[in-house]
Amino acid sequence: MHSLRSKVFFWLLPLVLTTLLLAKNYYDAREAQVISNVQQLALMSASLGARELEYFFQLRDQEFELISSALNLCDKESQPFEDRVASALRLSSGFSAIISSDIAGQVTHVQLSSNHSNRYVLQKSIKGQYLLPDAELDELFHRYQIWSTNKGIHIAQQSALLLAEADLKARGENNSEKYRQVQRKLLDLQNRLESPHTQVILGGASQAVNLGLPFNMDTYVFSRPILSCDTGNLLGYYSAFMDRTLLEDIVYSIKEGLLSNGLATSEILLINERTGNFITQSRKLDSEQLKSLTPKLSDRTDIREDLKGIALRLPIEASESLITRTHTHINDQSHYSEEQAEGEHSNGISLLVFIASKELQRRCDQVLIEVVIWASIIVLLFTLLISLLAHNIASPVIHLTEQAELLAKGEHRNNGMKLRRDEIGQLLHTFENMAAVIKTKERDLFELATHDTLTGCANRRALFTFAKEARLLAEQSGERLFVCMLDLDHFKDVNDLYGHKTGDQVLLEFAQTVRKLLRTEDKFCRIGGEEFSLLLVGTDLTGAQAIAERIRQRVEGLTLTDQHNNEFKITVSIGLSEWTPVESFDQALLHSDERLYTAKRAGRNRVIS
Amino acid sequence: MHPGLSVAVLYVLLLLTAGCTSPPNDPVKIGVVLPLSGPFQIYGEQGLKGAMLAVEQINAAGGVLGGRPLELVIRDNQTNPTLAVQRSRELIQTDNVFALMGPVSSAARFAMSEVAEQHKTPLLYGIDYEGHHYNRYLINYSIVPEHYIWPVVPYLMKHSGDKYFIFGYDYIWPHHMAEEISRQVSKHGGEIKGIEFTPFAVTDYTSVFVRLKESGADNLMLILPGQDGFNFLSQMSAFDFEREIKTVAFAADETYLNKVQPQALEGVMTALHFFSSWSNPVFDNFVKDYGKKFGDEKPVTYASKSHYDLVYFLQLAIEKAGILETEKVMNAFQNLTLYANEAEVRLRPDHHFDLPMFLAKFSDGELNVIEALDIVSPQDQRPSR
Repeated sequence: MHSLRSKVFFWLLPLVLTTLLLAKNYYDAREAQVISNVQQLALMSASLGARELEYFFQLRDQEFELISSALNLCDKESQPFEDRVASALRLSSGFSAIISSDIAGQVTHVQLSSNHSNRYVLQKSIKGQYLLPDAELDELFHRYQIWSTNKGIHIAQQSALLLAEADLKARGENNSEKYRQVQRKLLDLQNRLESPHTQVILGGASQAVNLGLPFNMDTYVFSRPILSCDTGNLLGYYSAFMDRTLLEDIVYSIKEGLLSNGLATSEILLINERTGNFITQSRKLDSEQLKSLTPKLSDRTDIREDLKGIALRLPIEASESLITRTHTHINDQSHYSEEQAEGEHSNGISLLVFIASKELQRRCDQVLIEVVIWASIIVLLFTLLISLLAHNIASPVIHLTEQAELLAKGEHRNNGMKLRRDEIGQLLHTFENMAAVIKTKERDLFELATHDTLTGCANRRALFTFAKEARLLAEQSGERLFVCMLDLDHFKDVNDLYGHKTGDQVLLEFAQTVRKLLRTEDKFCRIGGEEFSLLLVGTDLTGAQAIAERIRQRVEGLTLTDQHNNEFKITVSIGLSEWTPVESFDQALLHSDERLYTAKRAGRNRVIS
Repeated sequence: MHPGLSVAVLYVLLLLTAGCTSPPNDPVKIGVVLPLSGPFQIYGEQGLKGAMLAVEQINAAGGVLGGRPLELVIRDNQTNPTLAVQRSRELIQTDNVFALMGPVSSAARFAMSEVAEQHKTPLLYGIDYEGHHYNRYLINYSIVPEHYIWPVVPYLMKHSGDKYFIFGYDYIWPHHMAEEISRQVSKHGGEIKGIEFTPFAVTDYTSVFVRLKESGADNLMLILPGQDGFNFLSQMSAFDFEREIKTVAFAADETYLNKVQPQALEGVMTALHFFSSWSNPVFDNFVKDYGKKFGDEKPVTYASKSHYDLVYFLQLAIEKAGILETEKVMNAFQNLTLYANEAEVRLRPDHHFDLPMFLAKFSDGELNVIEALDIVSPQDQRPSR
């Protein structure tokens, strides 16, 4: 762990850790963004959907007014009510059917609209069945009664106002505040006189099923009394059933919007505010669970733990005013007013947009995968680069160390490293130069240690080293070894007569002469002064004697000159002995030295063996 | 750096990634709207069983798109088009089904296909009908009049006589059948001796038999499937025509064997794209698997086979598209084929099928193929431009 590589790695490790930390922070930010996006999406879908629903209910309200006007037209006496229903329905696009009943509420006539959703309806007869629940029928009758009671008063008011209007007109007062007030009141009275106000309920599921309409849940039913054109008497009631499939399609279009944004686990619901029940079907939420929630659902987009998701609830104002308005029309005497006062329950419906937490989790997981993949790539890249860097720095150092160790062992070879131009390259270059210098010096030192500087012959130490090796080889091959001791005769006289310089010259000349006569495996060395030794390998006694004799003769034949070109001659005495395996080299030298002594005594310039 | 360390880092990262990528295994829902009560109940039940078998097999083999199972959400439309609309809308809008399957009657198919088109949802239909109903989201695994009549009329010309009497229900499918029969008969030099239609649930057909006898026809083309068809055949066998009249009962399948006396069925012929008694590797396997799931004694019919195949075609299309997106899956339906050789069914660009047809005959309480009619390829069913 103390290696250069680990150090580089650990120094740069903080970079990797920072990257990971950065990835973590990035993920957190993305997560928050994803959640906020979904919340925005939910809020936007809910708002747009609510607006569309508002508009839808307003349109139905207006359409029913149109239908009513068409039905109340009394100038076409010849047309029976049933025919008028058919033509009145053509004025609308949002109603499935108009069902009329007698005063008792039993169905007398059914007219289906030509709406798209009715195309495949196999109409079933519901004649004689009851159109509306008793309470609603009572309510309708009640309204009619109040309306007809008030009719006299309203007519009186109308005449009074008409008189006032005429008065004002006569004065030329067509533009005053008062005139406008009168006009407004007249219009209001006219509406009130025309017919009792519409009664709207959320219901009619069973009638729709019995009739064979393409829905089996509650819809909005708009009802009014049928009045005789001649007498104004009550003949019965008619109810227009709103086309529920249109409402369902709006709800689905909101859902589609969420689906197209990849939110598969979403739910769009319409809730009856009064009962808390769902008006549309749900597979994921339970109305009972929703009723008991605290805090109640609102337009907040927080993730709710109790529902495990985002749940937004927006009231549809128009749906409420539709029902409230029709009921408060007679509220002075009605039982509705009390109910309204005591409960803050609204009469309308609200839109619920629900997006499960699971969906958020899935999106967050996707982000997580993305972040993890990128972080992995970055960390891997880092690791790769760091290890490359570590390798780049450490490997030449390691190589250098190895080379230095080899150099210490004397085995250095200049090879292996590529040429580099950086600092490390210079270091390597310097090292190589140094290694080269050391090598040269080493060679010089070796020369110095093993050779005689004057003659270039091996010295005594080198001879002993060589002798040891030669003995080993000879033991293997079984060859014999011979040792000669050579001593120049009267060399002291040469020094005295011609000077030391000439003496040195003589020694050099002698050594060169001898070396020329030797084979490569023989070893020739200067022991000291004018005394030399010769180790002969791979020969027998006769051969050794012949070599020694040849040396003696050649030296004898040498003609030497001094600085002044005075010629002179030298001779050599040689003692030759065999170096037997039983003796040491020292003993062998001693034996040949004894023979040399004998040669000297015998008059010099001879070989004694 | 130590190679071991980098391997460790890589491993940890891989583990992290693997932990995050749990594939979404939500089921792919198919909304089935079939008559499980009412006049066409028998076809609805047979079709449903076929679809259930296919779903079970596909799920056992790992579902679609790498592990998503198929799920059938089943609704009964009581042979009622309005209910078909209502159920389909509910399945799409509330249950978020990916595709619809069903219904049986033509009226209900028209109604449902409109819902399917409005909501851009594939609709898989698997019953014989009058033909020429095309929209982008509707796939008709159906025997159309051409499938039936092109091979059957020449066969009758050769093996029976050239005088024909047509009798069927008074609704769109028998009307189109009668037109096609008339065309083919005159093309092959035969003669139409009478064409009659009848409302549902008539109890006595004697007057029809009298007119049929007087017409001198050799062949009766009976387009009256279901309960009324059973009654008609029973009454017909008791009537003395004083000559042999060959009856082809269109859409008559194996269920007739349990509903009609064998002597009333004797000699009646029918042409379909599948008969459980016919042996080839594809049919044998299907009949065997079906028997394993629903019991060997239960009849296996062409309606089971077509709905079974339709689920497989949907699987093929989803796998080919590689993603659960309606438009891509609809495009992927083009030119898919199932099986090979004699049993090959091919889905054509007009969303109808080239089907192998077989002519079979009821005899001794059995329904056996008397002639393999080859693969019939009707003309393009798209409206001509």
